[in-house]
Amino acid sequence: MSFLFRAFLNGTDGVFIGGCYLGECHYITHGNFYALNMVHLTRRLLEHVGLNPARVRMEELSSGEGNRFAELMNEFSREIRELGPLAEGEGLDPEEARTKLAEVARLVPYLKLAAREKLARKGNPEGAKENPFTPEEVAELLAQAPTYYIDPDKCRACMMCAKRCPVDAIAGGKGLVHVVDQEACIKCGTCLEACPPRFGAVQKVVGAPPPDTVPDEPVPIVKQRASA
Amino acid sequence: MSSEALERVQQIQRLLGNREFGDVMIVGGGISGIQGALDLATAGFKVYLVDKAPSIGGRMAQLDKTFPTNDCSMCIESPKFVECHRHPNIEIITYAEVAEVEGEAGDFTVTLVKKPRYVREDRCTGCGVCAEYCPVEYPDEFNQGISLSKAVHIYFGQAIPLVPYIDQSCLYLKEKKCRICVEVCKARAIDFNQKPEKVTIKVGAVILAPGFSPYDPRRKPEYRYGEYPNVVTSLDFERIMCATGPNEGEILRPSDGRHPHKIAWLHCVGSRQVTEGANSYCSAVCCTYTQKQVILTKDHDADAECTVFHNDIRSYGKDFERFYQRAAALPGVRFIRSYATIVREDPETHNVVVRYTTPEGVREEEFDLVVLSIGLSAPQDAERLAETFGIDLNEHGFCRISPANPMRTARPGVFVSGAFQGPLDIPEAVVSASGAGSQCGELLAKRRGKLVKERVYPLERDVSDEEPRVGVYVCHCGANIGRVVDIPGTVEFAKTLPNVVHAEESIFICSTDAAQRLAQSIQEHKLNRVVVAACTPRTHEPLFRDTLREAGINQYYFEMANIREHCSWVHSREKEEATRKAREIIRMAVARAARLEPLEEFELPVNKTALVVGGGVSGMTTALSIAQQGYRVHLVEKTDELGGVARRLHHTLDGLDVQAFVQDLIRKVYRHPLIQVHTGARIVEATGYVGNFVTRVETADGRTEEIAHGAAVVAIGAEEYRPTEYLYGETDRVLTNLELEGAIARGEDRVRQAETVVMIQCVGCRNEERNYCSRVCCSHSVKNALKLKEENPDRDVYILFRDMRTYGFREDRYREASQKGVRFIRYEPERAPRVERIEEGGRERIRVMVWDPVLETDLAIDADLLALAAAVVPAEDRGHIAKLFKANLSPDKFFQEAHVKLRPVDFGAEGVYLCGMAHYPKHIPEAINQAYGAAGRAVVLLANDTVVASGSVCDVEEKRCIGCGACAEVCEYGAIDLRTTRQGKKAVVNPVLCKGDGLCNAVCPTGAIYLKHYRNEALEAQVDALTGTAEGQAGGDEELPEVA
Repeated sequence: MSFLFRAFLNGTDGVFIGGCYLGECHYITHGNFYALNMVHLTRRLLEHVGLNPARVRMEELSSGEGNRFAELMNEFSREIRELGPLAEGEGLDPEEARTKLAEVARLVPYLKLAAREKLARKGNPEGAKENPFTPEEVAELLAQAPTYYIDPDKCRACMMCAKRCPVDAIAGGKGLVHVVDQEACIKCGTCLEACPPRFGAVQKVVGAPPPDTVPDEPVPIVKQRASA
Repeated sequence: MSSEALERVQQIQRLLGNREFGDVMIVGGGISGIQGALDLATAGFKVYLVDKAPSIGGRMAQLDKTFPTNDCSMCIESPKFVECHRHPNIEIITYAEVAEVEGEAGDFTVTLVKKPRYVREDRCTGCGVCAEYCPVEYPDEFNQGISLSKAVHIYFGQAIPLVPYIDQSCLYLKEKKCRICVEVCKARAIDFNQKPEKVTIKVGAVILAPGFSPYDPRRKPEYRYGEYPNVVTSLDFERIMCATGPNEGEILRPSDGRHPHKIAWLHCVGSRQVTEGANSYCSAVCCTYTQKQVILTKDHDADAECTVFHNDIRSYGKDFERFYQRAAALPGVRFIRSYATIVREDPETHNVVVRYTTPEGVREEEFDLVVLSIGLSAPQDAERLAETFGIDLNEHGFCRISPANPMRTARPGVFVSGAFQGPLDIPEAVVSASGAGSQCGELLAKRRGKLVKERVYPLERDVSDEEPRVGVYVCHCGANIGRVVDIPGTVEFAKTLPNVVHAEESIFICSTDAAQRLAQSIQEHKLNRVVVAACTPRTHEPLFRDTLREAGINQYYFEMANIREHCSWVHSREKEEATRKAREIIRMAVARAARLEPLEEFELPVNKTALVVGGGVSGMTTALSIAQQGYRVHLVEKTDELGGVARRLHHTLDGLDVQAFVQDLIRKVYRHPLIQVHTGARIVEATGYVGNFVTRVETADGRTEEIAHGAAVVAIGAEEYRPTEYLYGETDRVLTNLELEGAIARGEDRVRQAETVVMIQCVGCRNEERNYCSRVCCSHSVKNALKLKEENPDRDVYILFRDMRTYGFREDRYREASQKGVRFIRYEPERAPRVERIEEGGRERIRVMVWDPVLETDLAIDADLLALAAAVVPAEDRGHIAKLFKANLSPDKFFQEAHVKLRPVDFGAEGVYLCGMAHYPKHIPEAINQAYGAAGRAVVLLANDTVVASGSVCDVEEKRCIGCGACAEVCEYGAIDLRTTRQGKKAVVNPVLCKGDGLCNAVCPTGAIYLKHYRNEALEAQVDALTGTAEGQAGGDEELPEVA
């Protein structure tokens, strides 16, 4: 999914994905169902930011179908040409659309976690071609995207969350209050899990911007008094 | 193998001692020969693979798809061509025939005559320019003469060797004119001075795999083949349907090149007939291939009307019944049970009129196209082969084989595999090749590994600290690429790309001398990454990787840009755009190459012991063949006795004395010093992976033993269904086929006194609960019926059947039974026979009532005995065994092989093999074929000290892993474990089990798990190189030609 977004963020107008016929995967894992589910989700996400979902297309093809491949490529190129350049074709401001796309792209790790079950769904090949994600569902998924922040008053600077963070998005160090770098954060929730319950410093916020807790300079923690 | 044969082999082995002698020659390069060659070569023998055609591939290469999975035939077969071609221990000799064979097992001298192809294999690069300029058009043999080819041409696109040949239509050969090909060949490979050449090769054993000849319907003029243009054979139709065929996959009829709308298939053309010019036997594959053609025709044209005129539908193979139902259920498809004749054609439209019978009377109907479902005849040169090799043929011209060992011929050391055994399907051709290979291995065990080649490479240079230095080599491929893409300009463009320090062009980068120059060039320019812009990595990547190894750098530092298949071939008319696309492809390849990492292929040791699960005929045969090749075998049987279902059989239709055979087998197993038998034993645990399994076995007295082994063979057999229908269990006058066979053999009174015996077929299968055919029962009933008639010719024997499925040579025995007065009455499942107990003169009898479709009336038969052809059902403990060895079960709960056609005795899990009725019901000779086949496959593994696992497997960047477990959940190979660490749960990949499919990468939210050689950074660089960012796009743009 990141590859798709990467292409669109680079300004590509359309992306075609060719895969093996569903059920005929060479591997017993049948990953092409998964790929198709990701394409379904990506199409909804494009729709969500106002882009035409027809800009992503996945087709099943076998290695013996050269002619069909050529036909599909011509057809897809024609469709994309009719749609016009990305964003402009939809009557959107390209910069604005790009910003929105980038925001969604940042949520890919969260989406993979949140939609894990549906993405991994394998059914019969016919059923799999229907988009399992409704627009409302995707809007809800995005609205539910959490933000993690660290309450500076509760943080004991124990480094637990910082050590566990998979993307090193937690700044601060020993003796300094930890801060989540929201730009780098992938919203996996590992910090929430890692923060010792007796501190409870990491907070999860849904549907609201995180409290502005980012200090300009590293803040040393205040030693708790025994009476507190 | 009978005891005398075994002794003979042992005697030969003693005689030969350690004398030096060659390895194996395989005559026939079809799928069977290819499989035999690959197995033997990988198991340590030097193999000569000889074919009389200009390429290996055989009949399978001509097929469009294969049933019942409808896999593309060429797509699954051609990788095996390349594998043979690349194998250091296989020498392929095409366009050659065997002239003479001297000597004896272990020491044959074979003389071959190589026909001149007038093209030097050592120089030709397969570019195809000669064919393009050749002025002579000639019917293309590979396309069944439907389209035209040139006098000089490559046999087919994927041919191995990829070298053209010049046939007798050549102007120069006929009239000493032309020589255009000589002029246009840049590789100077055309050589009209070639003469037939004699080659003498010494080998220890021979496998004959000449296949079959398609039945020629011209032998019976009433089929009008060759007379009416719109009557074609099924093999013609394969080519007509095929994407690489004469019409590029469009179904067009010969007379006017229009799409046929109404198509008829005529079954049993040249088969199941005792008239002049036809074969009496059943060809065994035509029913199902016809159904395949119907399904594919409907895929091409959903509105097509397909009509199949058939006799019995013989869907006796695994998943065939469902396949038949699928074909029959398609809209516009009719299956009509009737003998059909071609009566005339419309002189205007060339439509063909077919006459057939229906319950309402005789009808005539016009079709746009008629396909003759032709059978399989003995190979045309069978008699010459028999004479040359000193083997016997049967009455049908196929190789005479023993039911106890269908791979053995009359001449020791000469084995037979594939359709020369008799009509059979691809998986059986593959299995018998592995099996024949196993027997060569028994004969030549002492020679193993003595002639094999191993390549030595220089030490790899450590370039990990160097900046990427990419070299780009752009290939003209003769004119294939160079004529379309501006190569010099593209080389200049490549030089401007980031990290590229050298770029050059080559006429044929794949030719042997060019590959050597490439290796020098890598060293000269101190390259640490190489991009070859040429053709497809599918065929050529192994070659270039090899070149990198020879140049002393890691083979994974290689990337191929396909500017032929993906570019010049498909954009030949848009030269400028093609050039531009070629540059984009190269830009992407360079971007990825710079980010490639060196990988190690790791070697796992192999424990040279096999475990065989199941002590029936299959299990014992496998165990013996493995042990005969010098490997230790543990044979585990859950009951207290060896022998399995065969203990209940007494003779077979082909005359095998089963009891004597089984007793002999048991004796040999117990006497073999390398076989340890565990009876009354249950497997309680199996762990490990290919080469290194540990299995715990519990015996009846509660002791457990741990067995370490490198390979496992599942041969747990199957069971007889216990009927609930037709009064079974209520009276001893109703019994199953197996019980009847036992009662006959014991001479029981109830049999001796029986005047009337009725047999009912398909009891417990071909129904909703078991939607498959049990394959053996029709022949079993015919066998019992013949025995009953032999004892008492006046006895009335009835067989109530749905379709008689006496496929192959068994058809002759069905006919014999009919001639001897056995009455065959067809019933439909909705009008199944009814039975009741009656008293007659103080004697209990069974009254069987059945609708006779010929007489159109209900018949009541009072029988003394009623025999039920009870289904073969999967063994009870299949689920347990499947789980232990990570094997899958089919929908019918038999074990599921790795690939139905080409890996019929392998499992998806490496190191575990399959044979016998655990796979599907089968006759004893078939089980023996398969048992030797499984032994052959297991020995391919055991013969090597190590197995190499690919370097391209997954690994985890632990820091990034959040322990969500998504990867472990989707990995069907069980290669990922979650381990608890101080930083929480972390995924860990077992590289031995990883197949490198990368689904775990896709599901991982953080990108912690990655597939080596396909890391995100490299792929993202490719995306960027194509789509955009300034950094990715650096280089060369201003030079791009303007595109209109």
